[in-house]
Amino acid sequence: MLVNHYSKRIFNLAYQFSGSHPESEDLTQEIFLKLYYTLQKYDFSKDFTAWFLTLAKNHLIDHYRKTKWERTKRDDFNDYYLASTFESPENRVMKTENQKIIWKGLNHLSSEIRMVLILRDIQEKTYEEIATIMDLPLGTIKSRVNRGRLQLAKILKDKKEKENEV
Amino acid sequence: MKCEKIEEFLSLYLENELTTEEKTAVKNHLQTCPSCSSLLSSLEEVHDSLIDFPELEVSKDLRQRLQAIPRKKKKFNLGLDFFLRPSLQPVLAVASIFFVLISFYFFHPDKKSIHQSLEQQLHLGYSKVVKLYSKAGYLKQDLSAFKDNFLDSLQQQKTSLLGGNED
Repeated sequence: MLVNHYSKRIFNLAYQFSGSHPESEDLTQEIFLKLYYTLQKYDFSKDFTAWFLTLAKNHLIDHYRKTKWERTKRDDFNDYYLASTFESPENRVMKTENQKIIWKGLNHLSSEIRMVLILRDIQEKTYEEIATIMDLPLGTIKSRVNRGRLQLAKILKDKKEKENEV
Repeated sequence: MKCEKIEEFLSLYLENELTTEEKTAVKNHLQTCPSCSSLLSSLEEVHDSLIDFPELEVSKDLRQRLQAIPRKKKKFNLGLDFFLRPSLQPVLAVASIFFVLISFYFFHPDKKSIHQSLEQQLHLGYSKVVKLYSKAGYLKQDLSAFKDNFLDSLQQQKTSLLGGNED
């Protein structure tokens, strides 16, 4: 039941954070293994999803800290994933280009800022939920989200300016 | 407000989470600052792009691996759960010390001398116990003799007191 309900969410979180498909599969497996070993420590008065996401977040950040010197690249952003039917082809092409830049740009963010930004903008959690998951004050979360978006916006802006120059 | 200060508010401005005053201040600044308004449009693009990031499906292989975890864990812990109980920890600690001492005795290169000194210590201990036992015997005899004397003296005092009253 836990696998059916949470595997997609955890796998996507791991993929968006690590940027590597095979690695995110291994990370998902490790997170679920950790879950089964620590399930007895779960306090039933607390929200299970938030508790599980905290466990996943801790595992992903710990793993990143241990291996950050080995990682410089993310998988290529696959156009196939972007089959949005609501937009004109022109907009879709532009958005795909932006997403490719942002996808790579996520690697330039610190692990904490990246995690907060993924939770807010990709996983669409509220600021309050993120504060619970990250165990940080609301103000810190808001400021980290802002910093992450600004960093990515600057990367996007620079990249576009360079392309225009060429 | 300066551009650096405005940057701090841009995300919340985008999400409409500022107070009316802050909102007006940001709006006024954006009208006069092309750099900040360009940054805001990039910020909007970032926000829109991130929101539209696709969700990947979990592969069949990964799903199977995840579903196998509880069974694997059960198999792995079948024999260990009982021994890892906290109540057994002192017993396990004593047992491990015992095994260390036993292995020290059996695998020491100078096993004979250890054996001899152990025997010596055992004999010494045994003779000490025998001496203590004999001392305890003497003490018992002394105590019973003291008890007899004490009872006799009590009896004598009693008879002398009774004789005095008759007089």
